[in-house]
Amino acid sequence: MISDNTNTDFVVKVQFIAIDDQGRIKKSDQNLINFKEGTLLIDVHPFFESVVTFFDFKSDHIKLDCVNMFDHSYDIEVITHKDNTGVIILRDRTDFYNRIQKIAQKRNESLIFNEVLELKNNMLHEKEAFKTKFIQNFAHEVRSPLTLISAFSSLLLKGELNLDQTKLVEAVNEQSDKLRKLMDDIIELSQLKKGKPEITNAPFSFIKLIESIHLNFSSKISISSNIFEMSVSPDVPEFLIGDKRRIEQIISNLIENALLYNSGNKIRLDISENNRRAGKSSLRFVVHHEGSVPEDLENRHLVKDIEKIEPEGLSFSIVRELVDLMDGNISIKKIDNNNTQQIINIRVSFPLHHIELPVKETNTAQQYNFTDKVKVLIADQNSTTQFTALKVLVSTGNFDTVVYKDPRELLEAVEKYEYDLILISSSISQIDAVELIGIIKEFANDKNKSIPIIALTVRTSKEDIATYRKAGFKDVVKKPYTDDELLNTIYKRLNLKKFL
Amino acid sequence: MTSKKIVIVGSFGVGKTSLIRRFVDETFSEDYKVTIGVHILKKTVEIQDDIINLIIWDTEGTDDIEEIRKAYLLGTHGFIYVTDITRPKTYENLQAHKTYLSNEFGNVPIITVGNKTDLLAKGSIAQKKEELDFLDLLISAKEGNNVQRLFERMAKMLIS
Repeated sequence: MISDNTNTDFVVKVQFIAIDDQGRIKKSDQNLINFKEGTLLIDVHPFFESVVTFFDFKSDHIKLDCVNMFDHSYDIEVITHKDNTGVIILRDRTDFYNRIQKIAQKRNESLIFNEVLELKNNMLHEKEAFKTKFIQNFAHEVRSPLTLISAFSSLLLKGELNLDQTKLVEAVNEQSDKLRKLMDDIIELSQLKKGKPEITNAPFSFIKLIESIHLNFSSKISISSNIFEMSVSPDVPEFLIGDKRRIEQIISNLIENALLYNSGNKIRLDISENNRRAGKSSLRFVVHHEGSVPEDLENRHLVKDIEKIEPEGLSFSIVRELVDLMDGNISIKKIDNNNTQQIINIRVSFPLHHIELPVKETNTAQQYNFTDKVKVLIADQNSTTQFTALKVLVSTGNFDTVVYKDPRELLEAVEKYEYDLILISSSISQIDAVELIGIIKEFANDKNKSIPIIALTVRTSKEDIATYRKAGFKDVVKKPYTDDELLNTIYKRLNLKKFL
Repeated sequence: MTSKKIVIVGSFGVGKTSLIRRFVDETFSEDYKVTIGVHILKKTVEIQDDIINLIIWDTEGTDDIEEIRKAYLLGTHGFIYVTDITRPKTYENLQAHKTYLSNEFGNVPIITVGNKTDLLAKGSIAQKKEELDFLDLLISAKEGNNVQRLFERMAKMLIS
């Protein structure tokens, strides 16, 4: 078959131009451009002004593709001779390069678009990281004074106070607990938004949990002359395997919402089981109250930006994330006569056989009277938390304490003197506690290599605790802590027989 | 009167063609049209008593400077390396590309510029200048800022 000669792809027009030794056009076949013979090449187009530099009394053959002149695109060959004459060959490839241009246009526009998109995405990530860092730093700063308030008010309540003083200190204690909870909520929500949820799976008595919730809320609700009723379906499993704290958080939040928006005098919680499948029980919690809830409450879980969450919706946003994690759903229904139902369904594992639960440790620290005092080294640069730890330990009469703020002095002291216990804060003079314990362990001698070291820190995620443990810390006390929390941990990690 | 060949290089979409149009024709278009091959334009500048023909070669944008057809670069007297200050990718290999040009073309002057200062928030140019201190000049082909200065600086370097 004979090819179609009308297809311009295969018909490339060519023009030959002969150049004399003075850089003038000697002869041209004028197939493409009409060049006047005798014209200086440099006067034709700026391109040729550069081409004349190729003529240097030498033989050469230079190819230049896709040179755009006179609204056309040419492939050009420049052939020079030793006598400084030469030939220029133009091939008109305009159609071909126009097609290439269209493809390149699409490609480049798409690449630039993606580049800009990636930049915007990175900026958003940076903004999010900054926000999380800000929240963490803020929480860190707030935890130190909060530690002092919690621990000291708890200590005061154990002393001898008159009735008025007791009430005042109880109020301080209660408010600091609320503040602690709020801080935990903020941190928790930022962790959940970052996709780092921590759900534990441990067996617990579900019946005891709901009894405790009933007891707590009955007394709380009765203060406002309201009634709290609870009905538990008999088929609900007695034991569950899941995150007891989170489940309590979910149920408590529903009741607190009801308490907040209740306009009647009764709040009711119904707990039932939807079904059991594959070792999991689908549990249904319905909280009834009179009055409505804000219209957007149900949708607050859709808010992905922490900035946009109202303070009163903070806990609800956390609950929403937790319900999602437990394969569940949440809904709010308006019932006739201005009644509202908050409904949550979650799926939780339950034990297939009878289980023995571990005995729960008491929160209040046991009172000891040591015959020998425990020598404690406290490494903390924050004067507030340093003072808190010091005061809590001294108040028992069981500890001799010494405080170091400088890591070098601390290392010297560990080497020179004998201690029974070391408490280290998250960082001292920019040196991280993990790094510091590494140095202590590296230069440990027979005397000090087995001293228990406990971290006092705000970093208490699973990963953080694993890092501390791996580094050699015997235990981790989460800031803000109460006196009992600190003492309980210390007593757990000390060889008590040595001091009794 | 002398003629000097200046080649404009840099990644695609940084505004090489816009820069030349601003300098030669004093025009600017918001439309982005990809350059294929090479366009050659000319402008005469007067530096003190010298009159210089600047033959400006506008090359096709590429991420890798070695991809530019070598024939385009024959007889080059100076390079202007254009980047887009809003797209870090366009200047992330700048040092390596400068080294390549210096190795291949000896002591040919190279001026590096960051284009599109018009996209910066008002009052943030000084901060950007500090951030991009490895660039010789920040320019705006759209608004014409520093464009004349750039070519005059290059012309001075070429006659000195």
